[in-house]
Amino acid sequence: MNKKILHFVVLTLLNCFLYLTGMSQSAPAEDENIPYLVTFGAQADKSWGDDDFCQIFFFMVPKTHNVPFYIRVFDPDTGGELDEQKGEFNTTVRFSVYGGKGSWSDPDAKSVDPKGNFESGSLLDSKLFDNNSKYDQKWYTFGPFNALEGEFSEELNGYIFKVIAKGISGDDGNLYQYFMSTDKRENKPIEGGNIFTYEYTFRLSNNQNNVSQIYPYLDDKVISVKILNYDWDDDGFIRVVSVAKRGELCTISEDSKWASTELPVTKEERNTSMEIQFIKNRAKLVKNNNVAVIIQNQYGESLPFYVIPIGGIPVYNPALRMKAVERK
Amino acid sequence: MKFRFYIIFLLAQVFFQLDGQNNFFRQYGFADGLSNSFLYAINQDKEGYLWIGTAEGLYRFDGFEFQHFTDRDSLAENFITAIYKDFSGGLWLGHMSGGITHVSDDGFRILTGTSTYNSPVTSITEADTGTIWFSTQNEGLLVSYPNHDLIQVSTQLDNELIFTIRHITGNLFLVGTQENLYVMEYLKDSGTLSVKVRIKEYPLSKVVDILIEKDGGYFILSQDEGIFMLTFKPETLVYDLEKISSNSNGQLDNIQGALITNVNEFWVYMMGNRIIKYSRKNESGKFLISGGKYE
Repeated sequence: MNKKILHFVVLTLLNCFLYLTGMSQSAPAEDENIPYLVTFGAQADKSWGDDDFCQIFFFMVPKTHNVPFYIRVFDPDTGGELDEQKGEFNTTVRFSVYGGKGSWSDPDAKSVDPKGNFESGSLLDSKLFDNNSKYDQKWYTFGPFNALEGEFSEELNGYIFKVIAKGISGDDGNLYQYFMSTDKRENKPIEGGNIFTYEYTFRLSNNQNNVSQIYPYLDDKVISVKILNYDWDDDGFIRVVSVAKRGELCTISEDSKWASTELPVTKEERNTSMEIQFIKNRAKLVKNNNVAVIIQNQYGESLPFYVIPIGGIPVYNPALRMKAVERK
Repeated sequence: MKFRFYIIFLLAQVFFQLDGQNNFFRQYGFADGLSNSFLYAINQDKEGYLWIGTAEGLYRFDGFEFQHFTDRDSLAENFITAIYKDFSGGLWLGHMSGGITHVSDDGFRILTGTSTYNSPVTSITEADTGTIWFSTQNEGLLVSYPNHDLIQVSTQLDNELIFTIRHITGNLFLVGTQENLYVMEYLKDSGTLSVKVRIKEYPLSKVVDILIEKDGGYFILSQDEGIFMLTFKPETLVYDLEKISSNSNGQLDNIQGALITNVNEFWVYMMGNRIIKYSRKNESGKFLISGGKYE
């Protein structure tokens, strides 16, 4: 067998294995190479990289999961070494877990703007965190939850829970991570579980050799996508890889602004994940850079970013590219 | 959804020492016919049967067997979030999607199904007029009259979610939200529940449950700021809020609920199968931790 084909087959099998076993069920995921999610206090300056002071993630638990599970937050307080300090720490952020009808299916819940009925569903648990060393660089555990408390989705064949991190007051940045676990004290992934979001707001690494990546899923209705990034701050470049794209560059945003790039989607890219890569500026160090990213289809509907890419990490397939050219 | 107790094993028996008294625990599970591991509500009817609410229906336990009921037996919904026993001994079930079921000697009767109020019923209380009050998370309050008419009462708490309600007297209620405790008054003319007093000494923590103490006080269980005793001066709303157990060492993290026994004991249960028993001390008349824990 040709070495390249063998490599492709091995990679595909590995990705399928990762998906099925539910490894790395954290947000950000290990494979994404993103240090932390970030949410600023409600009085923060948007030029620090958070456009709306609110981050919404969805946690999918397979229908077959019938034992308790937990949603864990690392470093939920805003204080200490990890978080972004602006003057004295004065920030409170509320983490809320929602389930029940409408928690995911309500259109406002999927909107990238935290407006209207985005806090839809039933509030299962909630906690307000400020500058508290008790939670600094430690895991706080929400739960146990019963999968049946979520909203059932036929499409995903599982129960969906929503977690909203909302900056209530102050102007500092809260950096944190999530993990969906079967254990309240340790991070043990749920087999077949996944985590997704429609707007990803995160901190980039300070390592100039770093490349981060996130994985939107393109369903069978997508003809074209618009990729939007916010407050990129001249921190290198953003490019797109898929089964039919080898690294198409995106327009990068200026301070406190959105920039968008429209790309066509080929038939082969439908029902696969796309990889959006964030390649740091190697000429100058941009420290503590926070960025928000959205991807929309041709109707302006936001597409989900999965921490475990559906179908695995996309690998560019030159044969598909040639085939696409032939059609022209 | 105050009561959430997870039964891990099919059967387990645990002894432990509390104030020199042996307490015996037996754990029921799948092998005993309780086929759902998450319990959201529990109450005992006038005949001694235990009624247990789960996400997949209602169980009745007679001390030997569990009998299972679902929406096919005329429950408003399968997911039960609250069970309340009224003064006449009837049971009321609150459900996850706003449904309400009345349980009487005649069987189950649905007061409202899932289509009208899509919000979990979080707590149930009875006023001295015989009306049953249901707090919902997002739809205000529902009131059932003795003839089973059901009306909706709005509150002034626009951005706060109600988690518990307890009738005080007349038109006055104690209402606990995500982070506040209020005395609220039902205004018949406007059909609303209005804030009379905010208990400002209460810390920022979800009010998990409010229990009536036999001497007229109210136990206030906060999610993670400990347990309080609220008392009112007779015939007034002048109150005193006293913290009777702090949570400085985290032992009262994630309180789920409590019950008062008829032997001056007060049991508090936390997330993760932890239980602490409090006993009333004769000299002070206050409830103090007895040192008994079960994990």
